Amino acid sequence: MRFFGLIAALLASHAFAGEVYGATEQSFAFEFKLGPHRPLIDREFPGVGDAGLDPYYRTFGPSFMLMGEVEVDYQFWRPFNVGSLAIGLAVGYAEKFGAALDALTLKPVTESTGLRIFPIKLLAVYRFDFLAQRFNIPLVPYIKGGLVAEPWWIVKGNQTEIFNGRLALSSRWGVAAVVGLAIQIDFLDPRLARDFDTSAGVNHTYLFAEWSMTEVNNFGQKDENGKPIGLDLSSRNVFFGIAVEF
Amino acid sequence: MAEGLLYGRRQMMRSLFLLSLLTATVSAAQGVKLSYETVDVTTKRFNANDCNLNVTVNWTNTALGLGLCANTDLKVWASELECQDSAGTTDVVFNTISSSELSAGVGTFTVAVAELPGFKYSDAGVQCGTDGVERSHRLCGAYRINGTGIPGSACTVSQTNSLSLIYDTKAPVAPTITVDVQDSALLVKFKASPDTTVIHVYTREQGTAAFIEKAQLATASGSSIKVSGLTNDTTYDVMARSEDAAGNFSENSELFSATPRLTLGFYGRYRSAGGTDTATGCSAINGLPFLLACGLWLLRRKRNP
Repeated sequence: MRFFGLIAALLASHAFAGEVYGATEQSFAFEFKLGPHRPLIDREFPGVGDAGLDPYYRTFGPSFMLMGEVEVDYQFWRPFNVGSLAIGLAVGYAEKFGAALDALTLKPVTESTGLRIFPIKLLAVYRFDFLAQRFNIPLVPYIKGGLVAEPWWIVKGNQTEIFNGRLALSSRWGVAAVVGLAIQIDFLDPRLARDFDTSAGVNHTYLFAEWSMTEVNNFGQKDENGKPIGLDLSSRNVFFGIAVEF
Repeated sequence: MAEGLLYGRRQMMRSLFLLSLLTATVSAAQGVKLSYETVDVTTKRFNANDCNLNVTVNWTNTALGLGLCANTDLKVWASELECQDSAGTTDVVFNTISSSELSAGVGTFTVAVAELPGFKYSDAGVQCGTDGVERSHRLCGAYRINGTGIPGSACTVSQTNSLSLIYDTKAPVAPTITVDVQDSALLVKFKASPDTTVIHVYTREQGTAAFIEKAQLATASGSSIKVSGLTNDTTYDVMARSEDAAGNFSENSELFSATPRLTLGFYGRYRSAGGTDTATGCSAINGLPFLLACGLWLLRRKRNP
């Protein structure tokens, strides 16, 4: 409670401080974020956990990958001056390793196997920064949506796995939707924020959390029996990160 | 007036002290250094096959025109004891490098392994070529140097750094190994004695006579070796040997038999569970430039409304 009280006090003090800054033109945003990630590969397989056939769980266990992602947005329009509309490109990377199996006994062997994914997103981004710009309330909610291309490859030992003559390397397409809330932290030190703007052109700095939902299954492609075709790299995950607008 | 004189004298004494400290530091950092191929190599091990070897030693004089006394020379000898200011009666003097040679700055000389005192004066009757022996020698050097660097001060004997020459025909202890089965490969994990520098792994198809060396690894690089390129469902005999820095090989390790087998990575497991992704390779990634093209198009659109 004390923590929330402190946050509320900070926000209130900032809301009435009346600081106006933003000396340089603002056209871009850059984000760096990290978050736990687990692709929904297993959702097409019957059974759950040790009782099921789910290959991801049985290879990598219940723990998450750590996804790192960088995003650059180009803010090309401020409709009615209540927010910014941007086009963004985000690239991420995550990997997860576990033990390979003896094909005969299905027991783990000392050889390792790993899934590596490299999601690339083309996003439309809307940031509602009206409250921050107009009333100095440093909360900026935002939404994003767009296309995802997700190259993936699987290694066994120290090389890309080959199974039945197939090199385990491909890419999947899908869509992404993101909602997030950013806290504009300029109010923590307005003078430093102003200097950062005038000297480096950085208008605002944010800490943010966002929830991301992706459906990366070639737009729900299914075979004639209604069974999904291909690796399902869809995910639901949370990212935490830092962003700057410049 | 008297106070002023006293202050001036103190200042002069302080300056002289600082000057002597500085020159002593300079002369201490300079001198004659010995090394093998590079300055980092100060130890050489050799075995019974190297008895006719002449080891090349580099010397470097970094005290050119400063510090070295006039007409000094560099004496180099080998000893089984710690280096002293001059060679002892059981040491072997190898070389004397004259002051005119030293003025060149750098040079080399050779040391005949068979002439080392461990073989020449040994009371145990050890000859170069004897097995199961380890004898350490120090290669020492001395020259005369002006200790303070101040003209007119006394010359004293200074030692070069010493180098090690070790005759080692003691074989290392055989390694212990375990073998893990992999896909078309075997993973050999080993434990080796501290003097081992390289592990050699040998395999043969069971039923055949000759072992073939399939892999080797410096022990500093890890504790397991992957032997690749084997055939699944074929049984192999595996053994390993240790090699030390002098090039001595251990006896063979215990023999292991193992059969590489097909393993399933995540993709194999996914397909075996009924997964349908046929991994279309790089052809599926060719569409990515489309995304980048869209981004560029939007950038240009704002610049040229």
